[in-house]
Amino acid sequence: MESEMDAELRFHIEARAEDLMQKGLSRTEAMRRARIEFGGMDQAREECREARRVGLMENFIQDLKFGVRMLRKNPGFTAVAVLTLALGIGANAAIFTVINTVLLRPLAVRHPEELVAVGDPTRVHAWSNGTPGTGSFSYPLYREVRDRNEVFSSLLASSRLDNARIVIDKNTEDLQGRVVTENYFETLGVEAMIGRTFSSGDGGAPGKDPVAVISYGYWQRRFGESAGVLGRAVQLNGTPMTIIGVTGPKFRGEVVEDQPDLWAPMMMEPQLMPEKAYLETVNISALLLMGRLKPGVTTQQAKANIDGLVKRALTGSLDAKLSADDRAAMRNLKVDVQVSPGGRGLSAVRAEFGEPLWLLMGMVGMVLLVACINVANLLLARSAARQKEMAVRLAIGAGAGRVIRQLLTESLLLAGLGGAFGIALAKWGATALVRMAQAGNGIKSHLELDWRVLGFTTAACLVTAMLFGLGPALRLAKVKVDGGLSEGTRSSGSKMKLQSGRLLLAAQIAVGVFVLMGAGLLVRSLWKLQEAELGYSRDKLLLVRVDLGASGYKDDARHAATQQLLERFAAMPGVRGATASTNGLYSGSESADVILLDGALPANGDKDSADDEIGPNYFSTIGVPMVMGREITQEDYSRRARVAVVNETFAREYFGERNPLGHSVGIQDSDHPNTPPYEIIGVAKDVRDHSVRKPAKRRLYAPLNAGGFDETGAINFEIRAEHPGALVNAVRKTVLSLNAEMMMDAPETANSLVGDTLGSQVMAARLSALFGGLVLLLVCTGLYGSMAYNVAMRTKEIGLRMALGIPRAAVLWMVTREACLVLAVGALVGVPAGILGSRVFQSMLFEVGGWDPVAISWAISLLVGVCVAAAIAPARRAMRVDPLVALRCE
Amino acid sequence: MDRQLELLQGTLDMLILKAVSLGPLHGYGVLLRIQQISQDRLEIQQGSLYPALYRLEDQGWIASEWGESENKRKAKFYRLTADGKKRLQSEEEKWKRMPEVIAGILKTRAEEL
Repeated sequence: MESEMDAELRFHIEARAEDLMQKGLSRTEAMRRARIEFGGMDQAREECREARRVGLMENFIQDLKFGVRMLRKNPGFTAVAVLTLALGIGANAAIFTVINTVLLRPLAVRHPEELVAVGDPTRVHAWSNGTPGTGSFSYPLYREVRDRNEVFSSLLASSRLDNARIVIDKNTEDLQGRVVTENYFETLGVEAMIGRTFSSGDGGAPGKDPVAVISYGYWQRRFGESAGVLGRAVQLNGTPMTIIGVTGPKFRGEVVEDQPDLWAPMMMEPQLMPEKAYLETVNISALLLMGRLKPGVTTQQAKANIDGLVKRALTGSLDAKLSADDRAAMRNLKVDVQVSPGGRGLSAVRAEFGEPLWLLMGMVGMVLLVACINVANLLLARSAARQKEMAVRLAIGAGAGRVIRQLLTESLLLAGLGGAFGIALAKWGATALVRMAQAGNGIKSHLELDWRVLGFTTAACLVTAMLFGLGPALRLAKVKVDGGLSEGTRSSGSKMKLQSGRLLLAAQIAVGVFVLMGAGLLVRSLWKLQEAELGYSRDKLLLVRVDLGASGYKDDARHAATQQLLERFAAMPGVRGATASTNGLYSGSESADVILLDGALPANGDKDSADDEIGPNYFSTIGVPMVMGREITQEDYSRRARVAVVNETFAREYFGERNPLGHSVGIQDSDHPNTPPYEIIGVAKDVRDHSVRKPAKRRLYAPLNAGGFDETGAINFEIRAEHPGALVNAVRKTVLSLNAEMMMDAPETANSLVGDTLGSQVMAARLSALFGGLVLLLVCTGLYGSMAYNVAMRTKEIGLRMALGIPRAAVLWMVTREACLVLAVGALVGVPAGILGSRVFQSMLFEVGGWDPVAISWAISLLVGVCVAAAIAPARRAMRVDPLVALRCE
Repeated sequence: MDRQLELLQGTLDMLILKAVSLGPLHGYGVLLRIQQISQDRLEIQQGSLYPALYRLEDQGWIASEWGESENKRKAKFYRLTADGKKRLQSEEEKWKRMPEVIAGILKTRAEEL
């Protein structure tokens, strides 16, 4: 395709050649001469382009200056437009900042795109003790994989450091720690800012290298950035350690939502976590692995290699460490290790918040759209005043293109100002958002406005400017066709304007309905989740988890301590009852075992079942009714009776219609062989004890002191009271009164624990409601502006009609008819769109469908209310029009 | 015929404006007309014609439009704008006064300083 410039130059040469041919030259000779006379074509082309470029630059600056002048002349308009845009762009930037931190940003390591995660990247705090799986790894398994793989140039492992307590100069404090292999920093490519990080030398025999690296943040907080921290001796969980280095400010570990203060070598793990020493056992899978692949190796190849390796290890070299049961299970295990890109780190939060965040991004985009429509309407309204100016400019010869360019520059200016204010809003907004979502302190402190956020905001400004600026600009340029200098143009042009204005308003209403419906559905979902019947008395329970094992109690001492705590709790004023369990409610821990029914494996259904060990009067204390039989009483407990309770699902799945009472149930565990079975004495109603959404699993409840189950060390206590929230401090004091050094979690009410699991739902509901409110505000101002303008424009017409004797009611209808039309059209489009749209986030909804009548009626009534509010003032002004004054105006 | 005179700096712009003021022309036509009205006494570099035309258009003194040439071929025509007319007038003023000023400078003898 020849450019215009080329066509012009070619014409010149040919025209000259023709003149020469008329003088008698041949065509070829003429063309040659013409070209020579012209001189360098390329140079000419280049100079033309240069002339254009310089011109463009000068024009742009001219446009900018003109634009600024225009905006200053109309401060009211400018303020409203900029504010509207700042709100829209700012909200978008805020959500994007969070998305960036949680979903997009890579780790602060060398070449994050080369990192690979081995295992399940969402199991960041899961700690599994039992049959080995492939979500997380045990240390012996890691060692096998590290030493025998053919695909990784280096592979690290890390796990959290539980209950990390540090003593510095006699001051004790709890901190966040991680235990990592000696190649951790090297593999990630992280260097110490001062001192050094771990090297291969720190991987000697267990306990030999008591060194630690601390984070920049911790160094700032605790050591005031003094260089004297190197070589400092501290006590970590009772073990003397030396601090050898500090990492840079940007490095925050490999888990997105964590903020580790300290890293210790994995070889120190047995000293730091003596109750949970895992270096030699294949049953404790607490490690997450990350590594760098050898050049040329793909993730598929790596996965194949690792799968094979793991299977061989678990059935071969690690065989000796396994129990007989586990060995059998390993033979049947289908090894499927996840090998995925690890550049963005490991995260459980990402899995939970990913979908809600993108949904909110979509919604906030709609808010921006509505804001743009408002600003476009404002511009259109102003264009009436500027039509004369535009017409004059066009008449004296400025090209339409020039005028459009100038108007777009003004739009860019507006969008730019809006964006600048918006960015200021973004950081604050993102922090507020994260706090609302209770996603943890790690995320809150990681929020920052990096280049990605700024780039996004700039792009948003450009798109916004195009959206609201192009329409009015094109409209004005068309005025050229009319010549537009006479008054007559105003009426025809304004009719066209009225039509598009109406369309835009209807579009706003439709989007508003859409967003409000979405918000309504999410809010209703949240209510239903929060009020959901979980099977127990969630309003009356206080839960506290006490880590007796880590506090030094073993076996009989543990039973005795449990009993003492139960007695002390029961004696507290306001407490109606107290009981205990190993897995508890929403504690995050779970266990399962293979079941024997009447001495044999179950004939039908799965062979294993979830289980729990409970204290006396468990079910009555937490408020679960017994469907059949009775519960385990204090008497059973005291005489260590071998009785058990099963839940409804268990009874239904294993016994069908038959009565399970009296049958014997036992567990098959080669770690505890010859455990006598229990007699089933009761069937309890199902309880949703770990998740509000998921249905209850089949579960067996055995007494705490019966033995035969794997020991976990921590016990969950459930305390029943009328006002559980008021007893938090008292309960904590009671525990500490037994042992002042007891390791425990803060007591929490059942409702608040459940609430914690609903973090993402809460965030989605609150924010979508906020956005719905923003949209309502924008629609209100937009409609108000449009109606006020309408009334002002049609004052003459109104006056005329009143003078002709048309009743006021009819005039009122004339003015508001348009608003009603717009509302009706908008709703008709918005509601089906909302129903269809809700399919997108169906998985987030709980017990509400897209066509939920409550949500739809909320959305519609809110919009009607807003429209009425917007219409009141203009309608009243229309009513007050004095016909004489109006008619005199012309 | 005498040797053609080199253009003084800044003259080309004025020449183009004058040429176009007499009626819309395409680029080649502008060249011919300048030669015509200067009676061929000025040396015009063809290659610098078009950059000048683009510059003048950008500054808003001439405007362009595609049209048909005499032999029915597509060509870009330039015409003078209202702003351009004003510019031409001010250039004329400048050129009227310039010869006197230059002559005065050149006539200065050492004694008059």
